[in-house]
Amino acid sequence: MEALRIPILRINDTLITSIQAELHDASAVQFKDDLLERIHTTRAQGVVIDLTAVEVVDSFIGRLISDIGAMCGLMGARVVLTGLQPAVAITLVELGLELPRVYTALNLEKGLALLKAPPEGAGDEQP
Amino acid sequence: MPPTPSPAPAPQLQINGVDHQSNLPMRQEAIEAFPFPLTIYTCDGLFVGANDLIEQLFQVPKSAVIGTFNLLTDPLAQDERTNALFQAALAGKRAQSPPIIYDFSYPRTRTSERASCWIETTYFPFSDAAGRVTHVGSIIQDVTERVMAEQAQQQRESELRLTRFALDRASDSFLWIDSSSKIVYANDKACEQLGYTHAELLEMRITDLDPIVPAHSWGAIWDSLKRERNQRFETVHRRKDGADIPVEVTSTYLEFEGHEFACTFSRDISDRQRAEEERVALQEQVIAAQGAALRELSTPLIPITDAVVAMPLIGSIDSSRAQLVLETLLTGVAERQASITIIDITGVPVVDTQVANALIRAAQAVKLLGARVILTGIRPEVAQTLVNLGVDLSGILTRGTLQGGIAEALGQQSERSAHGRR
Repeated sequence: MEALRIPILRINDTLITSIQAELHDASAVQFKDDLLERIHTTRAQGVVIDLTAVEVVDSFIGRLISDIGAMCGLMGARVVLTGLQPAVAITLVELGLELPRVYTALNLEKGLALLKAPPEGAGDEQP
Repeated sequence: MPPTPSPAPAPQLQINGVDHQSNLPMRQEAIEAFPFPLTIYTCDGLFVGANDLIEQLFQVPKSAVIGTFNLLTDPLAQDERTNALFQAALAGKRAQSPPIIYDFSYPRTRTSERASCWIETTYFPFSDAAGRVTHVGSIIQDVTERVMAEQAQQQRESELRLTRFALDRASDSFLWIDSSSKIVYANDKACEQLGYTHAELLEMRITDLDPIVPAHSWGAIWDSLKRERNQRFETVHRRKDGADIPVEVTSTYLEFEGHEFACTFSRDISDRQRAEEERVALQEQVIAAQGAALRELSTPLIPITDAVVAMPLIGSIDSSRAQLVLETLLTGVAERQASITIIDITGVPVVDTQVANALIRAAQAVKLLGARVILTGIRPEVAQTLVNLGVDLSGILTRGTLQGGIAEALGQQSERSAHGRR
């Protein structure tokens, strides 16, 4: 059975993707591969991943999200996570995953604004 | 009049020139031999003869009344019924009075222990050879015992009817059960409560009504009731329509005329149970409401502008409150889309490693949502403690006072909006 593919949209040099279903391991890995491939082919400068619909994450998915941030950073694209749910944020903090290489924003709109003009001190200091 | 021993009946009973004594229709010996109290009257009602049994019955000497007492004219003996009976006897018939009460407080009397007795009087005619009625005799029977027995019986029956009537209309359902668990009596309320007719119930066993008690365990139940005599318990009775009703049963073991019975009152307690459940539910609601109020009080989230919220913490923070702070903060930020939250710890008396770690975790989680935390109200001694403990708060923007924190937050806001417009 083929894992459900998560659609990735491109606007100028920004990729936008929204995860609507619960993330399973296989589809998450597929998503990582697809996203890196699209960054490579489109030379995108920024990526917005909207997680509003994700209610629960486990350690594997949490680690994967953290890794995606680092990998995209290596490829020269900034990653913004938007719409994290409180329960997901608590899980990530409890797992010790502070996502140092990604930006976060309350919603998609603020996420896009952040990519356009990252203010000093927003997200994290060191990406 | 003192009850002096009666002298022999006076032979010279002559009134208005008539010798009543010698005119009696029976010889005095025959009168005395009569087995019941007997009196003889003339057709005018004059008392002319009696036997000794009369003296014993009424405790009055014969001599006091013979020739002087007149049944038809004596104001105290006078009544219509006696008149009618006497007239019937005069007409040649035998006439019997119903039992009437004879009151010993009657003036001429006496010393009996009894205040009254019940007598039944039969009037009958004496006729001469030509068939004319010459005298009227009356046989008096003391029927006190019979009347008393009848009255007692009536009283018992009436009480029994009342008991039955009361039981039938009792507000609790009532069943008699015999030793084989068969129902031998059911009152109206039982029929109404269970939905069966009387006849149907009398064909049933109590175990047919109780879905909890299996029929084969009846023996054990009966034995324990017999041992304890009295039992009170709660169970369920199944109605004819299949509905179960919770009941409180009071069962009493009785032995009556060689038969053993269980007499069982059962009361429908669905209302009581419902009330109890409602009370418990209400109590839980109150507790939940109080808990919610306490939680809100312990972690208030105050909006300052659309994008800035503040949470002033007052009182000591333990691990469960720290968790609450985290949850309230994150939920509030997500709901209000607030980009800056101020946590004020002016009112927190002691800040140790645990509290500091909780605050750091909260700040990190808020940052994952895309907002920022400003920690304010750090008093000098708190600052010292944190540094001495080696707690690293470098990831969190801190200010000394809440005022400073708000100024910082508003400054960032205006700076960012200016930035956005550029």
